[in-house]
Amino acid sequence: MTIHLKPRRLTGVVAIACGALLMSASALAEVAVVVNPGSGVSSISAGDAKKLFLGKMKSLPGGPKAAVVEQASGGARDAFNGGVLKKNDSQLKAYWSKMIFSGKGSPPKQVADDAAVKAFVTSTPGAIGYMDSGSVDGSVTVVLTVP
Amino acid sequence: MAKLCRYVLARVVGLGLGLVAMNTVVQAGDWSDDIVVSGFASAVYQRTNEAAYLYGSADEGGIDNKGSFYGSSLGLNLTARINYDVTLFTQLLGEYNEDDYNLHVDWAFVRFELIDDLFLRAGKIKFPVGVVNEYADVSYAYPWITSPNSLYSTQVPIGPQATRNAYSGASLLWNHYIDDFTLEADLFAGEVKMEVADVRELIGGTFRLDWNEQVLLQTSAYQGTMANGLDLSGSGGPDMTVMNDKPHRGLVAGAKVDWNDVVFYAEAADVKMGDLTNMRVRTWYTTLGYRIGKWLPHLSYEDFDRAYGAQRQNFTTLGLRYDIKRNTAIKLELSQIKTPKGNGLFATKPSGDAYRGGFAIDVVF
Repeated sequence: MTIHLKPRRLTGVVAIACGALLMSASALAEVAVVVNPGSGVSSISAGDAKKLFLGKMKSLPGGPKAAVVEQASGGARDAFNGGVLKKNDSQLKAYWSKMIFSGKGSPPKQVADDAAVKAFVTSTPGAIGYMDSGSVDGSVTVVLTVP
Repeated sequence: MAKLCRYVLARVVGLGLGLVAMNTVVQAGDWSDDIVVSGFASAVYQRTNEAAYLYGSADEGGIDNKGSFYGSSLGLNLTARINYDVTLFTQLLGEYNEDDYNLHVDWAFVRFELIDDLFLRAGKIKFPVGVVNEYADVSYAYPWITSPNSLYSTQVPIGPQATRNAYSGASLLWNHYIDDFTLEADLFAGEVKMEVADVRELIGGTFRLDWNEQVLLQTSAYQGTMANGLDLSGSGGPDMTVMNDKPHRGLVAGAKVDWNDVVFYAEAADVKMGDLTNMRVRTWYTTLGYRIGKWLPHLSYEDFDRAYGAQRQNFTTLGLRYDIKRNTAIKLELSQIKTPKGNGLFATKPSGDAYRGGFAIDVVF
């Protein structure tokens, strides 16, 4: 099935897409990688965390299938991406662009902030996410700390 | 634009609703987290100092001295996780073609995870030959305005035919992770349908070794049988019936490095179509760039050789990419094109050395 459209319309489409772009804030923070306490996992390495958040590992080490959640923006995201994934925002976007648009994977579920990560992790078996260490409480298990 | 948006939205929503229905049957529960919609757009303007079309034909157009939006595209991608083991991937693509955008299903397939990291894929699947071919339409994902046409052009008959857009069939995809290394093997079989010819009985394999997403080595081999070639000689085109029943073989190998701000690509392809001298192509390119913050200046060289030297062409390209935002890049390029013999990737013989200038805005969302 095909549809024919005038070329000048692409300019408008791009303009709309550009308008939807988000600015990312950057700040330094100590970040805690947390899991659902029911997973039975007490610690993971930075290497395994990297694999989980890049879609290269499907299960928590020695634990259940992983449900990965990341933050859409903010200092915790910047610290985690730089400290664990070793990628800046553009590099991570390029990585997921290659995975998505070649049909090989999709990025983790995104939520807005620490509270949303905590809500997801506490309610989802196998969940893993990250948050500012100051937001951690007894409802989640810290398995890795990123300075 | 509004018409395009309405149409695309209707297609995506329709597909989404279908998947929702499937999901409801397969797994009654919350499905909203399992459907991801992404997209990309590239607005490209290119111009040469030649009247002959570059990367095109008299019928389909291309880049010439009047300027062209050739290379512009808009894509929408939908990933739907049906359950833990089954995922559906599809992509709608609208590409600049002459003076229209032709929106179509670029690829769509179902992926079954047989065991951990071993996948069976079936449907219309992106052709996995060439380092960037699986995302060749997503210009944001690489340094250039378009992927190097000396290797990636699928134009018939002027292109190298080293790679294809997509094939209909099945693939066995295996990933293995060792520390920071990823080994990937993709065995595929099926057929490729084109407007003027088909590739039947296609089988092939692609092998990748990746280190930390910073160094990638990749090689592919495939073969198929040409079929249904059309005789276009009545309209000034080639007689492609001579291809019918000819074995079509390709070997493509390449490397990509993105390490410590150094960006490097190199790829080569060797393509045969039976004993057809004019369809024997050897082509390669290399790119070297250095990232300076959000800027990426780069220099490329492409060499195209068809029919044992009867068609020779090379491109020297100076390019610049600037990442405006994490989702948006702008690019500038200037190429010198030398065509010592034949037409190369021009539709007709150029008058001499040619120059190509280009500008692009790339977005992913």
